[in-house]
Amino acid sequence: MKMEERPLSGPDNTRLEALIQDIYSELVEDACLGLCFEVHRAVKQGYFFLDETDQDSIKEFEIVDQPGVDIFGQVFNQWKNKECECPNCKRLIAASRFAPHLEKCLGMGRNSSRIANRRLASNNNISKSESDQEDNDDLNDNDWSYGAEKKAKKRKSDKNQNSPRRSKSLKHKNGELGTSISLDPYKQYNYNAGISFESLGPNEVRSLLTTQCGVISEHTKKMCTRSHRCPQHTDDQRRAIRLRLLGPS
Amino acid sequence: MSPLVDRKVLYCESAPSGTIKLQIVPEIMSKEYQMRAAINQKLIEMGERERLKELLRAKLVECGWKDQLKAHCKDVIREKGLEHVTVEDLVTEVTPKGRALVPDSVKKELLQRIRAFLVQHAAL
Repeated sequence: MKMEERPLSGPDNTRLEALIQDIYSELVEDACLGLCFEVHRAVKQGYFFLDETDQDSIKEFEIVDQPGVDIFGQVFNQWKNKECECPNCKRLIAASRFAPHLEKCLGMGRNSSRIANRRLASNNNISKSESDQEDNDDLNDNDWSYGAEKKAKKRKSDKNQNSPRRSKSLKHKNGELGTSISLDPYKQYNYNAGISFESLGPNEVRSLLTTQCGVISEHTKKMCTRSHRCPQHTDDQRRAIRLRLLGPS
Repeated sequence: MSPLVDRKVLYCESAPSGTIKLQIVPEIMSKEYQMRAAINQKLIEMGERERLKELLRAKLVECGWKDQLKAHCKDVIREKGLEHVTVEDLVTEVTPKGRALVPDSVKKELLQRIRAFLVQHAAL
């Protein structure tokens, strides 16, 4: 669009400025009108004064502005130092540790079954080194572990050939281990999933190695108790450890 | 008589008897008016007017203008009575105050944007 007469820009800017001001005023008036319509509708529909409740409610829910307290008036960390009494073992436990403690104490929750099975597995391994026989009852509980199932199957074939169980020493051993472990149920996080091979005789080593991975970990110097297909170790490692422990044959 | 007003004469060519002289009301034919109309049309067509409106609304809410004005509305309503307040009442009471309450920063920014648009698109 071209202008033959005075241009908008150039030395005489007043026309441009006037135009700009007019456009601006129109926009502001639009905004005001919009607000008027909104308010008028709210008045006629009856929801304009809805945010004004009675004085008591307003006082009750006012924003709190004191130090040491949040805007609702609650104290931060109020329950941090409280202790709760466990309904099971009657001990006083810190509030933040209460839920995990209950899990272990009641034997419910995700971790407790895993830990219990591990405990039984280690019990079985240690008692296995003492005797050739084992309590099948213990093994029947270890459904989840592939290695334990293999152990169970193997056990049944062995049981028929071997002499009667040395149940006394077995029970004694289990009982002893049982008490030592029950004293320390809350430290299961540090459970070592391995066995140190120095304490085992050659027969035990052989029987262990036939069912377990057995690769010795560099950090802990313990044999891996996972199954033959454990993903942490390769078959080469397993072969090497068998050569080493059992001698070339 | 304002120098901007022209008395223009239009010729209508499609009339059967040849040409007809028409005389149009002067104010509508002034070049100033034409130019403004064209600029407004351009503003609308390019969507700039909507954008400016939204920008202004957002800024006014941000700076608390809307709440201030709403409080003023409450007073007006209480004064006139809840049942009998009309749109005209609100408009006449509220608009001048609203125009005055717009903060300078918002005003400057909007003027700036309008100026930029005009300079760019109005073929000056």
